[in-house]
Amino acid sequence: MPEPVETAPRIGPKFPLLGDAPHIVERFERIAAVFAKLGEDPLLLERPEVQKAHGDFLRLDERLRRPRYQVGFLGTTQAAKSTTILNLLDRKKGEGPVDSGDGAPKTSSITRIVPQSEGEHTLRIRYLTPAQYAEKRARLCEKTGLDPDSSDATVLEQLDKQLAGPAAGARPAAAEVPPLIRDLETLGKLVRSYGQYRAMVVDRARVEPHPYAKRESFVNHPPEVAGQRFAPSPNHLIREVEIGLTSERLPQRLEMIDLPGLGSDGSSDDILTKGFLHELDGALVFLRADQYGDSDVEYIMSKLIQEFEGGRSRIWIVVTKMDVIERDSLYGKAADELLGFLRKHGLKTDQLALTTKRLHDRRGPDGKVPLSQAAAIVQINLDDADPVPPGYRADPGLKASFAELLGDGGTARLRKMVTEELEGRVAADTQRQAGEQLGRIAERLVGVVEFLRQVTGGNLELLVLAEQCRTAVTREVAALDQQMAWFADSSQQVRNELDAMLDKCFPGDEDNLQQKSADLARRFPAHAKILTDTLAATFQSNVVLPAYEKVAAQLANEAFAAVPVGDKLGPGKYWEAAMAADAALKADWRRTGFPTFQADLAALFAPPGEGEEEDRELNGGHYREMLQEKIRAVVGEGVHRLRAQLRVRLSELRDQLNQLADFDPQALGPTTVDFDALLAELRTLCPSR
Amino acid sequence: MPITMTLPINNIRQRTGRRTREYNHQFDGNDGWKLTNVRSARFGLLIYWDNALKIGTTAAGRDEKIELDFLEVRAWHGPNRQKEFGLGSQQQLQKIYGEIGGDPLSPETFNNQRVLSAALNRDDEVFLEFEVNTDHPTYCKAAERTIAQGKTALKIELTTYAFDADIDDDGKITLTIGPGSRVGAYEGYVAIDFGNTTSTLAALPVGSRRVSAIRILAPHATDQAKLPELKPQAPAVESVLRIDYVAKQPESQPRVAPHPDLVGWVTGEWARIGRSSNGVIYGSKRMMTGPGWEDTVDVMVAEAREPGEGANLRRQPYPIPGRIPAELFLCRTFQQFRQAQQEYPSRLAVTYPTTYSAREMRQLREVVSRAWLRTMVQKQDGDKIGEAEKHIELELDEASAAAFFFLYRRIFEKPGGLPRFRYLYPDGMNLLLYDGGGGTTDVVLVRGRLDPANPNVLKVVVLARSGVRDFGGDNITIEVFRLLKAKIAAALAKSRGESKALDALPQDPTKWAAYLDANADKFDKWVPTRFDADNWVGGADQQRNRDHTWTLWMCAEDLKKVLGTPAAPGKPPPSEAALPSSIAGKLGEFLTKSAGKDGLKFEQIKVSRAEIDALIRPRVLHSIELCNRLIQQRLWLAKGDPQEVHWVVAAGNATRYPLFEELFAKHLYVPFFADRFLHDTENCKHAVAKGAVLALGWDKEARSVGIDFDSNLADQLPFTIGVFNQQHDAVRVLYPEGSRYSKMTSPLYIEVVTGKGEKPAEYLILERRWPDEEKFNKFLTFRFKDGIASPVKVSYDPDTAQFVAQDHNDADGELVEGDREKAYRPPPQRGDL
Repeated sequence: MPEPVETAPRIGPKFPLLGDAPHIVERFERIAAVFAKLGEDPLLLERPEVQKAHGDFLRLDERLRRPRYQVGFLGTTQAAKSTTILNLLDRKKGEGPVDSGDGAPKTSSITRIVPQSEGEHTLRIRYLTPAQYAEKRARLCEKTGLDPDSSDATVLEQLDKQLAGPAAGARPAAAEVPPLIRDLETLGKLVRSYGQYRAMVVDRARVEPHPYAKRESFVNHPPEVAGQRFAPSPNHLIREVEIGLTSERLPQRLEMIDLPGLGSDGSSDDILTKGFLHELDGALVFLRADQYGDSDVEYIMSKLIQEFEGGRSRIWIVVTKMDVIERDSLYGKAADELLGFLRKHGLKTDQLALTTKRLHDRRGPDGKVPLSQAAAIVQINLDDADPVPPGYRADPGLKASFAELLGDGGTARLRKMVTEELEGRVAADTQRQAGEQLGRIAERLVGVVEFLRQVTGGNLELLVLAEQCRTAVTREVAALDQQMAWFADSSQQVRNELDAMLDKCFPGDEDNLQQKSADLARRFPAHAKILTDTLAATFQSNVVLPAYEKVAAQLANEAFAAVPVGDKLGPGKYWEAAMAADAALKADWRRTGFPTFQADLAALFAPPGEGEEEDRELNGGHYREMLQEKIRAVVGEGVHRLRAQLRVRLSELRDQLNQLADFDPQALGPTTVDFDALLAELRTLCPSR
Repeated sequence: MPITMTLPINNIRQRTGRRTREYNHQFDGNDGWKLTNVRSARFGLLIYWDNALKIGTTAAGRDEKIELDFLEVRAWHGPNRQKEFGLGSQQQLQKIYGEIGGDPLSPETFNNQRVLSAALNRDDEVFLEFEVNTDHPTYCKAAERTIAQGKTALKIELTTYAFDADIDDDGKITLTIGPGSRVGAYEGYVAIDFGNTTSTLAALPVGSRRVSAIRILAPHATDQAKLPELKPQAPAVESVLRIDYVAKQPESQPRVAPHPDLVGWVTGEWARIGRSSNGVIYGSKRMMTGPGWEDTVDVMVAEAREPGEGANLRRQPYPIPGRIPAELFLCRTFQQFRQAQQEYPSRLAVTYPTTYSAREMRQLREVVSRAWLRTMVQKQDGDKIGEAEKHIELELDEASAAAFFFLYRRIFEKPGGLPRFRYLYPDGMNLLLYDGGGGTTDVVLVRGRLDPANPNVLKVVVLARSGVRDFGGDNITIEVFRLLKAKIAAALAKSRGESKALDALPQDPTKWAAYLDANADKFDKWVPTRFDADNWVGGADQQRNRDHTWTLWMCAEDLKKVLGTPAAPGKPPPSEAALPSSIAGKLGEFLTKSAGKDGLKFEQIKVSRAEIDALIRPRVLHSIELCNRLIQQRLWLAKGDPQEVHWVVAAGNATRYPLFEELFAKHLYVPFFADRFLHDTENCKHAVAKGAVLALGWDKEARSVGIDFDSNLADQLPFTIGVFNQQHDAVRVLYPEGSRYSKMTSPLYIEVVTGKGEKPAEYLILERRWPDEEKFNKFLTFRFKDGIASPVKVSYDPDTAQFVAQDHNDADGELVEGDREKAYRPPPQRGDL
């Protein structure tokens, strides 16, 4: 067994990923200096409110010290992810750093593909730490119904009983093994392997170098041992396989992380992948062309957007197996569904690659697929001047992707994405996120330090005020949740204005009421635009601003002004800042998911389908009634979004106040820290400065 | 020619109820209703027929005859059926001969004959009414024989004999009753929503898409002569039945034979309106779904020949398996459908409560199948039950069914259809359905949305369910009952000058519930309504108290309805309601005697909405709190985008009581409540059945739009199961609410720690928590008589639909019977009011 090696000491800049953002490095260093100052008094640094900010800071520090951006390759088991990676790297099956999925059982591990500029490919194996082992064991116990507190011996005994039946070797083919059985086996192997190879699992993860050629032996399960159900192997304790890949196709600052596909037969892959999402800086999400509504894909998307704090530019979608789309769908709803998926998650069409292996494999010497072959495989018509189906032509980005799909199976587009677009966008958005996180840490510290300054200066009345302030905020949260009439009057005004606008642009006169569907379809875009604009203007002035002002009035107690919240003195000031940010028409909460009157024209005015009754078709009267209902729905949904945003803001404020109100002054001794100087420094670091 | 005519009684099929045909004739018309010899202006007319009818010949060459008990003939004469023909008693005949004269026929003529007789005027119109009881076994036998003989109708001859003082006319009326065949299968769809308090059968013809095409089986009139009807709108049928007689079976046979003719029972209002509660069974649905559904309960029934007759005969306790009343109720429902439609139901949708377990669902399925077999007069052996189950083509939880009905109307019956819905609610619509039933309140959150992967498919997903298992419309009636009882007691005490014997009603309405509890014993002395529910043969007091309860309960129901009546235009809603004066007679001698010398004026005793509101408000608020909890947890705090409720629908009869809507508007976490609330009183109770029948029709007929019910609640655990962990002083959750039964077959292991030197524990207790509960309560106890060898393996056995436990030594834990739920009794039958 090879000896473990120490990870090579980091050389070069402290924050390689911030090389082109010196202003962020500078802010980072200055906040580090503030923590260092606070650290001069250990009691101060141990304060929970300081610890919380410090914890966030250390996590950011760790992330920014990475030599490369970590870009995850994610997808479901059916998404042909590994095959597409092989195509991307222009490797054949068996030659690539990842296996193309031949059905053989794999150990649950992460494969890191680290680019090297020269030299032989390398392979390093990283084992689980004790904490990672315990976590994995506990999660598998939960999944299999075993008590996580049971001893290893008990677990193994129970597993044996549950699996009583066919001995090892007589198990069904991999695809037929039910999920629970798979989990039971994984758990058994994990526990038994830990029993035998416990030395591999150490606090500082053990890392072993191995020849690149042996990579398959680490990602596959070792062969079954006759008569032994859970044959132990160190492989079962591996967390990561790191492959140093010499390739000109990979940007040097990107580390590709191939994560196990979701939705496999067992739970351990899901556990590993879902638990790794927060480590990623960017992601390529692979999904089959017929998989848009898949719950695992939806989970991945929502989690990534949450982790990237809205940074959708760091997510790319790789649609695989485009050849599985039926011709009817290709010339029907397929493009709309794809656009709907992208729109739903706030992505643009330039974040998309359409691929299929079947075309990639048919490339000629010039790297291109003859159009006739492409037409046969992707089922397009060639009698049209443009081979791209009409639905895909509607959007320039979608059209380009489809054209590239026809050209070489989408590989060139994917390569361009990875080699030219990925790094730049990930870098820019990671830096944006880092800057915002630093700003938030600084803001939080301002509040904390100001509070500490006052309390250590003997102003204990501040604690009482903080408590009162918290009570006021809690009351507002409760009112927001429980008083459904909170927005009744203001939203009624919006409704009235929208109703009036509808009366203006489509009065309920006899001519209008008799209009047919085709005429209405022509007029609808203008109506939708006018109503959407009216909504934007009236909602802002009638609902959003009064709502923030209503809360502001509740927080406008003069006494509260002494309570530091974030970098603001008093919750009133804090709320003013929140209002300024949220009241903007382009505020985040207004940009995503805020209702509009727009719609997919073709779908809305589609003639009745087979078996549907003719009288389902809209006439002018129905159309007016529909828009009236839409007005109610849109205003309701807008109010709902606003309520949710207010709840977020008030909860943030309450979190800040919790730290102050729960402060125990006796836990702090006399201190020599110069709070005034720290405050002066921190205030210059807050984003509003 | 004398009277000579053939009267066809067509379209008569077996087991389609009592079918009636009427004919009217004027003498000397053109239809054969003529007298040749008799010329007098006034004369006598006898119509008589043999009560035995030959239907064939036996192998021994003898006539094979049947009794004509299935045929009733009635006749009237004069304008507007002024006078009815008398029977053929000697006295009656003498009276007619006395008036008209003539030679009486010899008495032998009327041996074994049934006779109608009258003295009438020549210009009288004569009305003849023939009623064929097609359910009568003799008719079925005769009809089968007629068909076997290749005949198109059963022929029955009636003799007419007209006479005056001088001369007579013999004639003949031939009835042809056909075709006598069995009915065919209804090609459309039938859904049955079998409720604790009321039930609905809905039918939808093949190829229909509109809600307006649905027909509801109307409650059968208490007038037996009327046939059941399927109507566009009708009240729901009360889920009550009264068993009048049971033909006793040999010990080796089931206590209640599966044949429909060997039990006599009535359902719905007819069952309830009797003065006595003997044989009356409420809550047959709950009796059917308990684990002890084969256990018997004593029901007061008689041995009698005919339904209805039993009500007048002496009844005795008779043990009836718990599942039978539900089977009889459903059988009668199917029979009534068959009578109304002249076809039997074949393609069935059955709905089930959102909290049903797999076992309960299985039992419901079997009972429906048995009821169907009983309707079809088929045996109930294992294979037959399996075959009958195939007629149940859809099982749908009540929440999904009702939600689908309301969504269907809102989506598919509006011009623009599904695209319109998608435009209005691009992320789907969240519907909160509050179903206030008789004994329970169910709350579900349902999302109707278009499947992102297939925009032509509407997905109906049950997001969450909750409810109060012991609160429903009956609880309102209980409070009205308690208040009435207290007020009658107070009035009685006052009439006897003993007002001080009872505490006065407190001023503060919030204290009324406690006041009624604290004084319950005193009130019962004045107005005795308590009895031992298991004691049917006790003294007269027991029966008297049962009757008091029955009468007061009916009154309480009526007063509740009055107070729940919506305001008429321009008038305020009723704020109080008084007892009817007729109650004096019904409450019997005891109370009348108890009153002072001036008696008691019952009609002066009133209950007000304010009083009832005060008593039930906390419970309604609690149910709203559960709704709010669902909204907060499943919508506001849901992963991803927080959502809200777009539509609130109140269903179930309990919600007719106005306090519900008032408190919803005030306390429910639903903004724009007035816009988003629907209380569809017409479909309050029928939405479930209507939704299910639409869903079945939709499922079976090709459409361009698909529906996908993503719930299968019967496969989901309705509560959370856990086991108390002493080490952590907390309950370890084994199966959270919503766990799939199909995935609970893998065992879970529970460590049972035994201290050093201690004897191993003998019992393992599983606990459960319903969505409306804060804490876990005991659920199942397994006993290991040799002590538990840890760990214990717990799993769900799909074959028996029960949880099982096995310890490390493979010893099976024996389920302690005491944990079984007691048979359900509705409030007026509990004896504790």
